[in-house]
Amino acid sequence: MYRTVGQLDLLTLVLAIVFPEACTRIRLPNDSIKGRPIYAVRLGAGGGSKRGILIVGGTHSEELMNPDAIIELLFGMVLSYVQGTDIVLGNRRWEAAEIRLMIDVLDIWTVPCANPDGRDFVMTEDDLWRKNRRTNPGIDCKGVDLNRNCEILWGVVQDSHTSCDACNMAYVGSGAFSEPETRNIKHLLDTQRIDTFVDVHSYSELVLYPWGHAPTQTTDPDAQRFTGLPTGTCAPIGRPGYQEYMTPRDEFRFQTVAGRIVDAIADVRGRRYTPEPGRDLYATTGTSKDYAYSRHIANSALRKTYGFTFETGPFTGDLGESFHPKDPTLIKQDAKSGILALIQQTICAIEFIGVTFLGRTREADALGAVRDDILMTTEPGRGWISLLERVEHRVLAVVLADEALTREATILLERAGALLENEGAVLDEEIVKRGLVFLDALVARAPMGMREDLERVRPQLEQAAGSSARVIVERLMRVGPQTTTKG
Amino acid sequence: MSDLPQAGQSSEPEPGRGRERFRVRFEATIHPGASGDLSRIDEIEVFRVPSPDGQIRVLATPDELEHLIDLGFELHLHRAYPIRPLDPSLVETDEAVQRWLMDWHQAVRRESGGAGS
Repeated sequence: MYRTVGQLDLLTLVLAIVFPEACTRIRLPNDSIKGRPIYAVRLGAGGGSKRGILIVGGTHSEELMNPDAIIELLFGMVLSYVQGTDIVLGNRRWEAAEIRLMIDVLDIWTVPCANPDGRDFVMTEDDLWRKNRRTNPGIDCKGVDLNRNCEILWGVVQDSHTSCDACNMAYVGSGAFSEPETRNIKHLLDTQRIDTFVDVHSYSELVLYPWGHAPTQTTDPDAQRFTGLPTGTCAPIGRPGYQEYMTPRDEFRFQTVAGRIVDAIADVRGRRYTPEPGRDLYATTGTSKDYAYSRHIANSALRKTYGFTFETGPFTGDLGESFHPKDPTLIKQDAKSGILALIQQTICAIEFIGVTFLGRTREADALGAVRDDILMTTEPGRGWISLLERVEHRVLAVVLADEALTREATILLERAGALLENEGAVLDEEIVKRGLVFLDALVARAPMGMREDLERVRPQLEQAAGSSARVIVERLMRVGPQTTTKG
Repeated sequence: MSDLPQAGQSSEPEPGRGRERFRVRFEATIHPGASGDLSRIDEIEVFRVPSPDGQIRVLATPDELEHLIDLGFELHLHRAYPIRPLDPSLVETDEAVQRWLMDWHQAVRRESGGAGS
């Protein structure tokens, strides 16, 4: 069963009224082409500068499941937050503490129904309608494909999955961001801190990440970039063998996060989504995930946003049934688990502790530079990054639940920052001992699945006394996380 | 294909220049045909949908299919999709939404001792 636009709007209103302390609904600046209001909902407790995620649904209107899934997920998260109960999605249990942490440390922005005119048209006129309801001048064909209308190689047409023909379902529109619905997404990216973005589509059981217009290369940063290519040509890129650069760190990040999303979906009932660059599905331009990620490259003053697209549900052999199955319950469960995994991966424990308890990002920035510029360059180093990203949200939940641990984490972060800033300094015995006591406390409180990961840190910490930051980092680059027997 | 239902029977008539005048679309896969050549397919304006079996799968109007045949491609038609509203039985009723909402609200109030009242 699928909710109407009016029903979805009512539900977001109720959410904001019932839970005003952590839930806000805002009317986005642009109404739809037909004059319908379009709403965003922010879920997040407390104030201050927080990392953010933006979750968009209903861009392609015939893909009916996803707005419902996003709305239900918001209600489920609020219920979990208020009740302290877990969210159970098939065989995957999301603990209440995990949900609480997401709401406490992030701003979770959603636009559950980005294309309300399209959704209404699907329910009242044409159940396979994809675009918005723009009247295109001079022609009787209506609509613009909102996921071809963003400012990333807009109007570059490849492999007939993008079109300058207004009658085509993949029509790019009259210009980048010509449509109010896409301008709303840009508005949120412009005005809010958005570290992670996902546009939830159907179907194919995929987790897509950039790039969509060309194969990705990570070896030649000086090669031609998308910023130097002509747009609006209604022709292919026209550079034989063209590949788009991405830093190795970002490719690694996309791959590891996509892998965790895939795992979280598989946990529900065994559906194994495929993680891949968008180009592997087919060539596209003007998509929202690529636009979100490309912004910091096109304009270095802008924050980096990791952009994803989910394609929920399988191809069933029937397009109608694939886009809007008679019973979408299980597919929605898969989608919710995948979205929760992405929300969780948006958390940065070190940054949160730095901002909240030290009032600065200096330490997090320094450690981030070590991660991106040094550890990323070796396989063992990447192993440490992967381990940290796997456990950091759980570590943060344990730390925040205990005032003494929070204080200790803050002190240790400050000392780590100082060590990195002073090339001549070495780690003294006292700090190593404090670190080991802190690690013991984490292990004692950690869920079983996390203890082994934490224990892998112990041997490195034990031999860090008397070493400079450079020596410690070089060791981490040579020796990756080892399996331990302790714990 | 001239006897297919035409636009104008809809509450929102859109005669179009061919593509929206028909009240049906077809899901088809495109094959090389006698020429044995699929290389030109990327130049053809027709809406493709994902195809897990790797075939070129399209959702196309009758005149788009006609055009593809004229170009020498072989088409395998899989299904016809009349242009029609979503099956009304798949649209949630206001009563059901209200019940769902009440259930949720009661759960929030029950566990939190009155939150949201």
